Amino acid sequence: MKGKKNIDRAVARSWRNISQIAGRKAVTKIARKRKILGYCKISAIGLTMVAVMGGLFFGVRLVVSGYDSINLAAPSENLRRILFRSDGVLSHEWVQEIVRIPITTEMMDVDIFAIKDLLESHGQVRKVEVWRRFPDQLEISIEEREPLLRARVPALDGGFDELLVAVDGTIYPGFDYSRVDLREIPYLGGITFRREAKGFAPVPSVEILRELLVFARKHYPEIYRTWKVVSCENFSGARNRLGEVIKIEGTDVREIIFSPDGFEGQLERLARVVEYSEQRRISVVKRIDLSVGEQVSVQYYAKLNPGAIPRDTLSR
Amino acid sequence: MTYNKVIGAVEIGTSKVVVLVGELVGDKGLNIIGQGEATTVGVKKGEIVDFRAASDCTHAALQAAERNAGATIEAVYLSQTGGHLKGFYNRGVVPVSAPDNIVNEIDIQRAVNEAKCKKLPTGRVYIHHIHNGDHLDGRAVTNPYMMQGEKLEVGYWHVHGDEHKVRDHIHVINGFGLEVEDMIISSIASGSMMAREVEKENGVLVVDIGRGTTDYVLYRAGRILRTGVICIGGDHITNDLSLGLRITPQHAEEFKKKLGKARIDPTDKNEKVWLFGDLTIGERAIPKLAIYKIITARIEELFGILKQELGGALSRDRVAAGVILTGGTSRLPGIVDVASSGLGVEARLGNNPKWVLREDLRGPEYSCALGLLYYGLNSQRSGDVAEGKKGFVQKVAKLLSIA
Repeated sequence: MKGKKNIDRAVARSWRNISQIAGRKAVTKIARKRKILGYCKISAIGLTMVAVMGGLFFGVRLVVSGYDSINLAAPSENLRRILFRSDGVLSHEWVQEIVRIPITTEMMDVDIFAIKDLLESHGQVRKVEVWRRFPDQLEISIEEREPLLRARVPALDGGFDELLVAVDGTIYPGFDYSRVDLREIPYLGGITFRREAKGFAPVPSVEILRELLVFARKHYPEIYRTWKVVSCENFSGARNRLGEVIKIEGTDVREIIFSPDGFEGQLERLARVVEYSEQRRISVVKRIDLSVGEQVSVQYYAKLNPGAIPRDTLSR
Repeated sequence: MTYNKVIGAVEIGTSKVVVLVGELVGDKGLNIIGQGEATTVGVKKGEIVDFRAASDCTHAALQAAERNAGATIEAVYLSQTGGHLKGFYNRGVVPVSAPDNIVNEIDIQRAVNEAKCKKLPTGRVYIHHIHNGDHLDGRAVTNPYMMQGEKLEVGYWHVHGDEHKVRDHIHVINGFGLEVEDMIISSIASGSMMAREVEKENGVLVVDIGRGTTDYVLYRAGRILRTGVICIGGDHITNDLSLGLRITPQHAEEFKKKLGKARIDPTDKNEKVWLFGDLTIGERAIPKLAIYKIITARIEELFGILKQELGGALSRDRVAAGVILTGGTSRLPGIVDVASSGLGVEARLGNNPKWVLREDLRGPEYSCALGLLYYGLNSQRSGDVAEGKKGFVQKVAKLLSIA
C-alpha cells in the first residue's frame, strides 16, 4: 500500500512509522538556502495575492460606488473684478456701464450668456467671449467692427444722428472713438437708411465701397484723406451694370467718378492727374471722371484755385 | 484537473548519488525533466557511515537536479540497499469463513494480516511486503476472490532492515525539506527496469552489481519470489587489486576500469602494463594476468555466494529467462561468461528500456534510479497517492511554478 496511510495495528512496525522530521543537524547549507528561497517565494506569492485582492476590492468599490467628482476649482466667491480686453476702441468703463453686475453677485450666478448677448446686441461689437475666472473674476474679450464710413441719419426726434457704417454694412453708433480718427472717415451719401426694430438695416453694396476705400487708404493715403463724401446716388451695388458709378466728393478734387470695377487702375490714373495738377500748381480740380475706361476726363475750374469750399456746400 | 507531482527518484549509492526528476505526460508518457549527480561521501556498502557527509553530497545532487529540471521536487522515492536488508517468506493461512466456502474480501484481508503480522526483532522495520502468490486448498491461484475453497493461503516475501540505517537515509532527504513518499529496495527498482513482463512470467534473475553491494531479485510467474543483498561490489575488486598488486586504490580503480576483465584468456599470460606509464621513480611493470586473476577471483566468489543464497530456486527450468546483469560493475568484459558458468544459468547484460531517450541515462549504472522513477510515476498515475495534501498557497505556487 502506498501513501501515508495508517497501518493496521496487527501489522508490525514499518519504515513508515519512522518520523520524517529531521533535526537541525540534518539541514545542510544547501538545504537551508533552499528553504529560505522557498519562504521568500511563498511570501512573494502572498504579497502579490494581497496586492491583487486589494486592487480588485478597491476597483470594484470604485465602480460600484460611482465616480467621485474631484473639485479642481478653487472655492467660488463673489464677483470682484471684470477683466476686459478689446481689439478696438471700446473701454472698460463702457463695458461696466453696459454690463452692470453688482459686486455681491456670486460667481455662479453671473449669467455669462446673457452678458454675451447684451454686448453683441451693440453694433460696434462683432463678437464677444465671456469666461469665469474663479474665484472672483470675470473675463470679457470683444472683437469690434471696423468703421468704414460715417452716416448722418434722421433721428426720431427730427434731427440727425451721426452713426458709423462698418465694413460689413452694419450701421451703429460709435463709442469711444476719437474725433481725430472719425474726421478721417468719409461720409456715406446717396442712400436711404432703412430703420428697423433695432437700429438700421445694413447698407447693401458696402463691400464694393470697402474695396475702394481700403485700397485707397492703404496705397494712396494722401488722396484718401481729402475724400469727404462717398455718394452712392448712382450706384446700386451692381458691378457691371451700365451707368453704375461711385461719386466721391473731396477737398482737392471736388468730384471723382469711379467705375465700380478696376479700382486699382482708376486710382493710379487719379494719382497721376492729381500729381499733374499739383505740378501745375492747380490745388483744386473740379471733376475727374475715371469711369470711362482707360481715359480720364478732367475738368478744371475756369478760375484756377478757387479756394476752400465751405463745408455746407458739399453734397451729402 | 489531475494533479501530478514532480517527483524525484533518489539513489544514494556507494559511488554516487543519482537524482532523477520526472513527471507524467498525459496518460502514458514519462518525462525525465532533470538529473543531478554527486560523488558519494560517507556511504559504504550502501549504508550511511557519515551522516553529515552523506547529507552534503545528497543535497548537492538534489539541488543540481532541481536546477536542471527547473522545478521543485515535491516528493521523493528513495532506494534502499545494504547488508542490513534481509528477507523472509511468510504465509498467512485462514479458513474460508463463508458457509458456502466462497472466498470473500474479509477472508483475503485476514490472510494478508496474518501474513504481515510477524513481529520483527527490536530495531528492525519492514521495508516491503511483497505478495508472491496465493493458494486455495493447496492449489496455486491468481486471485482467490469469489473462488470456492476451505483454506486460503496468502504468501508474502517480507523485506526488513535496520531501523537506524533506514532512518538515516530518510533523514538525509528530510534535511533537504522533502518527505520520502515511498521506499523501494534497489534490487526491485533495477528489476522493474531490466526485466520484461514475459521474462518475469517465465522466471528471471536480475542482478545489479554496484560499487558497494550486489542486489538481486528473482521473478517467477510474474511475481517477485525473492530479493537479497550481497555486500560485495566493484569496490571490493578495487581493494583486492590495491592489496594484491600493492598499488594505490586510485591506480587500482584505473586498472580495473581500463584493463579489467572477468575472464582470463590464454593470451594474457605474457602481457604487462606499466604502473605510471611515464618512467617516474617507482615505476614498475605489472603483469596483466595478475590483474585478471584478482578480478576473476572476486567475481567468481560473488556468483558463488549468489548461487548459494538462491539454492534450488536458481535452475534452468525455474529461471527460464536466465540472468540479467546490470549495475556499473557489469561493464567488466567477460562478466557474462563468468556469471553463466558460475550460476549455471544463461546470463546476459541488461538494457534500459527504449522509452529512456536520453543517451546518458542508458548505461547500467542508472537502472536503479530509472526503476525508482518509473515506480514513482506509475504510483502517481494510478492515483494511489492521495491528492489535496498541498495547502492552498502551495497549490497556487505550483500553478505559478515558482515554489
